[in-house]
Amino acid sequence: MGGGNGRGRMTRYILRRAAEMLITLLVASFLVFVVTEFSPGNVARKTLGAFALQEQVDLLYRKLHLNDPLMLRYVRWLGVLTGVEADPLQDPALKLDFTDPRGDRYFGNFGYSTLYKAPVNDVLWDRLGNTSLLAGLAFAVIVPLSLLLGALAGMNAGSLLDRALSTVSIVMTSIPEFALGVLLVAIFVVWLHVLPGTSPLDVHSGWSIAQQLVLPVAVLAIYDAGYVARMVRTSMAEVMAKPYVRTAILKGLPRRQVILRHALRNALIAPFTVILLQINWLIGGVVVTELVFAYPGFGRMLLDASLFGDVSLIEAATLIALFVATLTQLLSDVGYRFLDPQARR
Amino acid sequence: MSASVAAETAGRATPALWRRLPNSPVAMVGLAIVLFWVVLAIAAPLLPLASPNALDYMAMRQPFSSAKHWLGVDPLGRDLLSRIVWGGRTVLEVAPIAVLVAYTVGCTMGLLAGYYRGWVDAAISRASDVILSFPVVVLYVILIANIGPSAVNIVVAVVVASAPGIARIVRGLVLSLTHQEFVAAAYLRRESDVFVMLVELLPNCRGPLITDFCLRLGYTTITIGTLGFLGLGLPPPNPDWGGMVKQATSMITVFPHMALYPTFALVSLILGFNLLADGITELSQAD
Amino acid sequence: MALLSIRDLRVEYTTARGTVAAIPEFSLEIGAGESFGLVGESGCGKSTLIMAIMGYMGRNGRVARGEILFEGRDLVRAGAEELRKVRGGRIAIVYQEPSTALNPSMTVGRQLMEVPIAHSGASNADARAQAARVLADVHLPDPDSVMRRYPHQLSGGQKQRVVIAMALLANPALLLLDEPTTGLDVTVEAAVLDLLNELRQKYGTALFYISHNLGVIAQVCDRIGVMYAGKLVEDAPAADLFAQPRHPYTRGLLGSLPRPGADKRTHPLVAIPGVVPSAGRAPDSCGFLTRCALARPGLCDAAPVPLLATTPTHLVRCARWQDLPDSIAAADPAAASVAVPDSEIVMQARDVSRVFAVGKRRLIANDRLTLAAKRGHVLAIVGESGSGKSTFAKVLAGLDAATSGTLTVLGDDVATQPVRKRSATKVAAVQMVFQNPDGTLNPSHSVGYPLTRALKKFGIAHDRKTLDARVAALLDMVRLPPSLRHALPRQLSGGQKQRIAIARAFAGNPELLVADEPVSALDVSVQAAVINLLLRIQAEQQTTLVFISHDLGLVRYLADEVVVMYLGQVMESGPVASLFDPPYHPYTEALLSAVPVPDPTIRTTRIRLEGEIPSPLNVPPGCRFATRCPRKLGAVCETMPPPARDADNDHVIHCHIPLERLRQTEPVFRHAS
Repeated sequence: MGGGNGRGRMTRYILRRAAEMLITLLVASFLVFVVTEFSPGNVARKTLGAFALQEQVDLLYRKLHLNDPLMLRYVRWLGVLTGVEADPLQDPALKLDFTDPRGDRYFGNFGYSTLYKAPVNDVLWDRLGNTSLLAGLAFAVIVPLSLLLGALAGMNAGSLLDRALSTVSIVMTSIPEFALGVLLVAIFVVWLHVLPGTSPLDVHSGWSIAQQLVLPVAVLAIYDAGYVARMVRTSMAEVMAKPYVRTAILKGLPRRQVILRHALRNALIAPFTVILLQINWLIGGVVVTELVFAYPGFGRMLLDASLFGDVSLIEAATLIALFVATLTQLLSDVGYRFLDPQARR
Repeated sequence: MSASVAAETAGRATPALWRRLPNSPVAMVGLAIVLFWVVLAIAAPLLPLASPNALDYMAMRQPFSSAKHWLGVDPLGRDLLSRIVWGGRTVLEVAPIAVLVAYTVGCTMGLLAGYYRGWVDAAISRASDVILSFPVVVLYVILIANIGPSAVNIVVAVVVASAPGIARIVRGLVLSLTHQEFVAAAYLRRESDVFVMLVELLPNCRGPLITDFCLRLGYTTITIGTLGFLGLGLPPPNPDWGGMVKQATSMITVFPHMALYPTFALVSLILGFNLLADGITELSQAD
Repeated sequence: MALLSIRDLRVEYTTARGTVAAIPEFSLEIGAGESFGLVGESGCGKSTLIMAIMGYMGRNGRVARGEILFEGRDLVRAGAEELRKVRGGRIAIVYQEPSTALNPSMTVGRQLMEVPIAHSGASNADARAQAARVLADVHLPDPDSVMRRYPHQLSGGQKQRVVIAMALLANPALLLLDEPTTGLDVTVEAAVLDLLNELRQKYGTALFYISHNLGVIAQVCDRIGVMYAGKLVEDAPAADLFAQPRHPYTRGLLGSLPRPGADKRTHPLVAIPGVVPSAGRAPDSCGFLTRCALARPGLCDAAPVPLLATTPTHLVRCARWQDLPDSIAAADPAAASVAVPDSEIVMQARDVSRVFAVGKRRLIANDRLTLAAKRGHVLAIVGESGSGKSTFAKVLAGLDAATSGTLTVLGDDVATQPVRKRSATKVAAVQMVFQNPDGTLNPSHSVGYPLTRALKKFGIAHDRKTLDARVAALLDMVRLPPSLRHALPRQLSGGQKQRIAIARAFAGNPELLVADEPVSALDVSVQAAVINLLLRIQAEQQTTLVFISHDLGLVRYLADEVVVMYLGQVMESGPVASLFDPPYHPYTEALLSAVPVPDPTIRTTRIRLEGEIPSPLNVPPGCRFATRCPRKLGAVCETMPPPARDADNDHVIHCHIPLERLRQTEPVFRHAS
């Protein structure tokens, strides 16, 4: 199997997976569309708010062609998104006062947010950026922490150290984020007064940005590191029991070399995919942490939008979340093939 | 130990799993915690507790602990001890049912996908992938926000979120089991597909599924708590640990116990399930 | 001074059930350059012994007593660093399963180079050169290319050579071999054994070879020890052991093996009654006590029996060794080879083919097979991996359907009729016994459950009473206690599970039984019992038996007719006697010469096949065997399918070589005289 052939095969695999990813995105976004826009009456009502008159709602209903079949409306939404069509909500004739400085027809037009009274793109990316900051910091803590805990435990499977580390990991995963948030706040804010109780990312709040970030990152890191550490431990313990590790030891290799070259290399293949999937969770799933600390993040935005009924924002945010999810899935699959020679056939 | 060395030290076959539980201290601790809450939940109506929904404004004079309210009261003056016990009952009513329904759906999907393969497998796996590609909380938020919060809807949300994961496990097990000779032997008796799936294959998935069951009870408890915290749980005034924490967070600087007690309760139950799962895994690997 | 000296070794394991003495007492000496073979069945402690020598017994094992002296040092009391230097450097291991013994994510070259780098501090370039050299020594072509590959890109035989190479790299004084050829095809195994002998000569390494296969040990070892229940029960030079086995267990082992030239009528296999005791449960005095026909109370169960020297080189642990009859029972002259009476054909395959579509390519598992089985006879189908014999077995039983051809079984053409399309009576009439005893029974069901199901599904019994009676009868037929019906499979031994599988197959009173390697996964002493059982039932019920196997010795013993398959085609077929004498098909000849015979007095022609079995995805045109045939004529073999040559008496050989020339070949087995 020559190098050229192998590379060609890998490229074709990547392309194929990317195509599948696109299909999954379309299907999933369609499902979301269905769920949120299911009763078109609500869409118009949600757009105008609870206090609008029924005639206004009916007028909007007709204007937005909300009685068209779902599939057609989905296609139209895709049309607005790709810049092929203009966003109907921004039609000045509706007198809704929704204006977007970028115009009403451009690629990436997610529409207008009724919750924040601004174009979706003004709200979405900002929030996504905040969450990415949080996610990035958390990830930077989670990966080394979990690898260390898990590898140490797995290498000495069955020993007291393993028992202790495993118990610590289990306890870490048994505390849901909000509970962890509450506990940490009780300790560090109420009792010790060393950290702020909320993290609105406001420089004028009396705490530095770094201090505001400590607790949310800690909550995410503690919960997730425990989970990943358990995966790493299991994988490591399994690999240490494999015959080829025995071969390496009985070949007379120094223990360090056995662990690093033979055991870890194989033990990290499975957790690698798990670790990548944590990115997925860190983007969308941290809504709870953001809520506890009043952090202006992506998850909280999605929650607020869902509760309010801000259709455009929900669809936009979900699409982004799905994109991140499928992208990490793709990266982990490709990476897995790369790491495991047997998967490269 | 290698297979040959293991053969040399094996004696008679090991006894059933539940009989071996006492061998694992981790499992026993987990079991004890879980049983504690189960007993409390069952006994709730019989215990001399104040009503969990009764508002007692006078109690706010002694919010931390009093003769009448052993654990104090919540921001609205309701007895904490009673709300915690009843909250536990709520969780233990919803979680097991949700997980059981998820198992029924997930096992069916997994059995069909693993047994028939081909397009059935492709369809089910593709659908699972789509659902699993949603970050879990996003999934819950979207579902509940749109279909409304209620016990039934929580069960539905849990089923939708968990069934694909279960299906994947079952599918993997079935794929490896169908190669075993006893399945071929069943065909040589002209057993039907349904018989093979339910009688020959499914019982052999018991091992990994039991561990997963305990773990999933833990995750579901976390979910119910989290949904409660987000305001998407059971509608008030049902005592719901997550909801209780949410209501109490505003008071945390003054009355930390109002948020902390339900937090401890929730964490202990989840820890119980997780320890039990870990202990069972350890036992099944000790062979 | 002996190279390796084990004295009074006792190895214990702590398990959930308490402390178990896997090896209660063991003493042995191996000199430099000597080749010592240790024979024992599963559970006798031989693997534990090897791990104890290397000091690798896991968390639960320890040496409770005794010493293991190697080159003067006691390995039991050696420090970690000292032990590390010995491992791989002075003592190396060749493992049983080469696929799992190699790291799947590291190239072969890298894994080989680690040895000289760790032991002699060689540089990368030096290590690479050394690795290439030793790969050439184990006859792997194109060492550089092999070194760049990953283990999964090599075949089983190639992987085993790599493991051997890796063991030899640091030029160890002692090589421990743990059943290294189990799982390899016979022809590949023969080549590996040849290699071991050659390397032994070249490097002067001492070999400590453990196996359950007496034939293999006879090929490689000068001296043989027999291990039972953790103790050494006999220790003698190879020739002596086979000529004059002095321990009842050794006698039993040899008696349960089919001997070349013997068949089921003249030399019935003698099974050893009972089962191998699990570790720590054997009687302290004599482990074999419970199964020994010669056991005398008061003598054999009083005190631990020591190793006695019958001659200076032949030791035996038996209190009654002098009372053993001089040699194994001679052939029964009265039952001289009576030819089995001819009968009608119940299974006729004509041009049966089974082709699998793999992506765009075709995997030809069976290619126009034509063979027949007669009522009440035993038809053996012999072949190595890739021959397609298991595929054919499945088509016959209905677990798969053929792509073309006709397969007439008991009157109907079932070639394209899998089980679902066959009638209930037809399905009951053709049943199967499988290879792997561990997978053959559903671990979640009691042992009696499949028997009851079979009886119900075939309409033989429906009410409780009749069912119970029939199940009891079936268990009795396979010589198992009726109370066993409530047991779970994990409580049974391998032999017992296979008996249940046989009972299950016979539940519907089949007329044709397909047995796919039913005893290959069982211990030697148990094989004899199960074979005898199968033959007895078959004879009583006049069932036709189609017996799939790779073991030619066993086939010689029990078959009436034989078909030899290679890469999906029939090479040779005919009555069993005609197959083991010339004329042979060249492949049959090579196969016969590769059989490890447990008798050093028999000389075998040495024919070794080059290369590997081609993949069934890429079958050579013409004669399938042409790529490896030592007697290849030339281009005609590569391009033209060989004609079927009839060598009288239904003996057919598919070969281009004319029959007269084939008749002139030397017989493969000859007595040394």
